[in-house]
Amino acid sequence: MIHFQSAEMTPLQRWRAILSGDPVDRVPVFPFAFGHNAILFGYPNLGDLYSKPELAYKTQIVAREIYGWDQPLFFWSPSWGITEYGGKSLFPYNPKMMSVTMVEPAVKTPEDAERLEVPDPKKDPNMIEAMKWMKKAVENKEMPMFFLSGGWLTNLDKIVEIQTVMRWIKYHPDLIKKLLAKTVEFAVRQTELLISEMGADTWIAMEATPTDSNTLISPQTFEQIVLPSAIAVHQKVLDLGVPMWFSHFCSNQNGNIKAGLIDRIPMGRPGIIHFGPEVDLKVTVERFGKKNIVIGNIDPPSIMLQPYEEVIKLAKADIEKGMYSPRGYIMGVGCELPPRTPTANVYALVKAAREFGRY
Amino acid sequence: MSQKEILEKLTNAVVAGDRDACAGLANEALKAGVDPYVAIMEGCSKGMEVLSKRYDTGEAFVPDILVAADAMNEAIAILKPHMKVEKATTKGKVALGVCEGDIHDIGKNIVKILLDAAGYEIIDLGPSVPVKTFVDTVREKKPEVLGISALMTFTMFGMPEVIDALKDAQLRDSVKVIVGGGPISAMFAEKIGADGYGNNGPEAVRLVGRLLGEKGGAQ
Ligand code: B12
Repeated sequence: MIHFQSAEMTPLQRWRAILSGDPVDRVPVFPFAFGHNAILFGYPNLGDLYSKPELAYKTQIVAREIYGWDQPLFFWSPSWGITEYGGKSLFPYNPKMMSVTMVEPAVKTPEDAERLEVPDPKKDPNMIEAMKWMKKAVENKEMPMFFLSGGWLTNLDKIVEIQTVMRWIKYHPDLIKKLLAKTVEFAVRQTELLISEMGADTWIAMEATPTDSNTLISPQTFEQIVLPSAIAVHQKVLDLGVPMWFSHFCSNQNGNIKAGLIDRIPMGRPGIIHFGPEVDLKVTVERFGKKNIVIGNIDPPSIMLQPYEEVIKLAKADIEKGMYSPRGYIMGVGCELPPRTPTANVYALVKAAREFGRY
Repeated sequence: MSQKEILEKLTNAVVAGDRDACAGLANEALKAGVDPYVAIMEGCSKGMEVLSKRYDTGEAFVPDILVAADAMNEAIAILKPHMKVEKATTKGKVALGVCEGDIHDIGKNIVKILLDAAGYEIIDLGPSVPVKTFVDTVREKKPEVLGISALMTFTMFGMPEVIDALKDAQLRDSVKVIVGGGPISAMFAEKIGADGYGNNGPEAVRLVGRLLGEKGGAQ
């Protein structure tokens, strides 16, 4: 057993060590905090956070310093996969909103779907702005960072109203496949652009997939409709030289796991796998831990609503299940940290890692 | 075909989401002299209930429910014009909406489909509904029940705000407030002074029936 008594690793050292399979002093912590960072800075709402990459950059760095967590920087185009295609979006300037919302879809009819063109990310001013801050992060050696990508139903529900997506799965499955192929192509174009601007080794492709979960669709639908494009987007991005995927397979994925569908998605070496709180972390470790870094999945609402002591217990339980996962483990929250989580409860995650997660 | 057979087939056609079969069977029901109200309640509506139970046990999924609702509506469109007037009046009015800031509306829509199938008139306020809209709706449209949905810890606190605003507007006693959605529990519902909580669609239907029954409004 290795002891780092005096020299604590820095968050970036820990993150890079986990990636390369080197020892870490303690369990790293990813709370999946985004909206929370704006609240921490006193913003009354999350509007600026989601629309201004500069603020996303700044708040992530300072929040990590305040709490001592290990989460690397996350970036996205504020166009959010909505306006690039011609849809309309609403930024969360209403203090009750938690994220960007699609208010008018680019695609309403099957004819619109057939006509839809794959956008050129170079023409998305929001993407250009996001890349400016990603380059800044490269200058400041904040690598590797994450960039939000994907070719999933969750990307499609930014283009077509989600209930229409659900109906077309039944009425026009081939149309859904065609649309998914367009989102795959868009992800590839974004990847090519990022690689030309900052290389392939400074960032990791990530995705979050609530609409593809078994909360909404069956494993059969996942296999027939989602899986082919998931495999395609992963393989293409890896072939372009991006080292790995970080997949947040959101919400209930138990049916997809049981049917062996997740195993068929190429993740890179290693991949980074993260399920919603509905999936038992033990299962994740057993099934995916040999080839992938696994991230824990403490229930987000509990972190916000339970008392501090209870959050410590939840974090401890996550550590106990994941800590010895063969290819590495990161303690984590099962989806985005609820933005208005009390500060002490966020700190409880780091505190638990320091107390119960030493190697 | 006997009435029993027609009703059974109608239920199965709804479960299968088969629009053409639903339309055919609705016409068949009319020809065979089946009371259209019975065809809707014991044929179509039952199909939605079966499916919704399957959703809860993980045997059916959201696309199945939406497509079944389309099929059911196909049959209802044919049957409803033939309903006797007194039966065509609904069992009661339910207003439904999702808390402000929350765009998760699939659950609310499923509750709506099931209540609709069970014979209630629905006022659908949509996703992300401001407190004031809930209150104005209660004042102006006078629903017997107000159903509020929330899927996020961020937005669920809109529920007590609606209840307080109803009290301020002297409207709280005029409506039963029910709540549901992912982070909501029976305990939370009780704490905020709601009249009921439902964990899923069929529970929402039973809850509304019970609350309106207590008021002596519906059978
Ligand atoms: C699908 C989904 C989405 C879709 C929603 C599309 C839509 N139009 O609805 C999309 C992809 C857009 C989405 C986005 C986001 N999501 Co989301 N999403 C989900 C997911 C996976 C499923 C929700 C769902 O539809 N379930 C299926 C329906 C049928 O079930 P249901 O809603 O529970 O409804 C049933 C019962 O609850 C009940 N019921 C519901 N309402 C009512 C009302 C009454 C009166 C009654 C009696 C009963 C009742 O009956 C229904 C039928 O059985 C959940 C995970 C989960 N486990 O729920 C996360 C989840 C809700 N999302 C979450 C989050 C954080 C987000 C985002 C903020 C992520 C982000 N940072 O971008 C955004 C917010 C977007 C925005 N602009 O506000 C979190 C919320 C956590 C929290 N803080 O509390 C969840 C819980 C995931 C998680 N584990 O953390 N999401």
